Amino acid sequence: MNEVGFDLAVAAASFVAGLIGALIGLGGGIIITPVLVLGFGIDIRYAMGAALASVIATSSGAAAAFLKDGISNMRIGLFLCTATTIGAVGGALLAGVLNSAILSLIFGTALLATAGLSLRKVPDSTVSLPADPVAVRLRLDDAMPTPTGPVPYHVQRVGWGYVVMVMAGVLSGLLGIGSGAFKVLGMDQIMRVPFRVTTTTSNFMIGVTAAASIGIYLKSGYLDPVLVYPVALGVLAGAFLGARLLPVVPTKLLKAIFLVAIVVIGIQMILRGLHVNLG
Amino acid sequence: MNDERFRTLLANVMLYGVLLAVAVMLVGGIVYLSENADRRPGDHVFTGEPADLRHPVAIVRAAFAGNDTSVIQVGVLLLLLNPLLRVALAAAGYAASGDRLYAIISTVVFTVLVVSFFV
Repeated sequence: MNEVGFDLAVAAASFVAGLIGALIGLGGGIIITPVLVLGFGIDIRYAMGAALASVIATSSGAAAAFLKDGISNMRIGLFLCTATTIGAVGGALLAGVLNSAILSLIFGTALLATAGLSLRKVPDSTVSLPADPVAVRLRLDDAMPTPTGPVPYHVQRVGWGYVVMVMAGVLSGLLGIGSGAFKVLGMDQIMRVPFRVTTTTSNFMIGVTAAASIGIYLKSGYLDPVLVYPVALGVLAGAFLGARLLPVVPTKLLKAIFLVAIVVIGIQMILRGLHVNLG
Repeated sequence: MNDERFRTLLANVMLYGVLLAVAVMLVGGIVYLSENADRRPGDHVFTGEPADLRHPVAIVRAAFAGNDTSVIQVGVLLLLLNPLLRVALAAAGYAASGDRLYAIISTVVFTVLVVSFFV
């Protein structure tokens, strides 16, 4: 295959990854890296670099749309970004000292965890919770706009949420992913931020978190421009189309199908890390 | 500046920033493909990128000298400036509205992002 064919194939695969990512609510980053590694034989470090660049592109595009509607909570986002960015710097430095096999192993495990997290039922936190003194001092509480007027919410367990965000940051830097599923876990399950506020705020944070490790990726030589451009353009275009298709496609069925695929891919990444070749 | 106008400004910075970065990458990619159509694709083994594709100043310099892969890398740099600008604007916005706590928090995030370039 020559360069034109190869780049077009990579762009097409990235487009599909971005599309599926947007439809089932996962970032394109966690899907495209295993596709590049397992399907195209690309070294995991180059795949992670290209995926992280695409994560920044899609996050910035999506966050721009969400910011305007006033659902995302900027104060929660910025406060938690102090945790995710520091974690991401640590993760990116850690990626530099681990070998490819271990990275594959951790990546596969993170894929399985992500699939597990997105299976969870999302409870609507309509229950009125008491105010938490730490959240009050940081002014994290806000109200979510709804058709029937703003509904106030009280953020809980800020300390634990912060710890989960540090870990989400480490994973982002270590694997070149947005780690949106882990950010949502921290905000929604632990801090009890309403789900819609969580997902939109997480989108704002993903790009900022990724920016904290991409400088290190660049200097470590993970960003091969020849791979970055078909991946970033493909994922971005796919995510854009996915966001448009979201209201008209049966996402529940799609989610079930692709979660199975993600589990299979996760297991393959783990086997690759363990040097087991299934041919 | 009120919250509504501030959000809109941030949203526009993000959107146009991404479009600019994508346009630069696309131009670089097309030029690269037109000149390297028959090259055999690599990237199977990690060797790291050459120094002139790893340092911001070297990247920009080579891009202006007409190096196609450096032009793509300038697109990557533009992508990466986007969140940096986002956080800087937030810090400035909070400082202007007299919110000291969040001006400081935004500045901390901005500092981590800048420092990450130098570790």
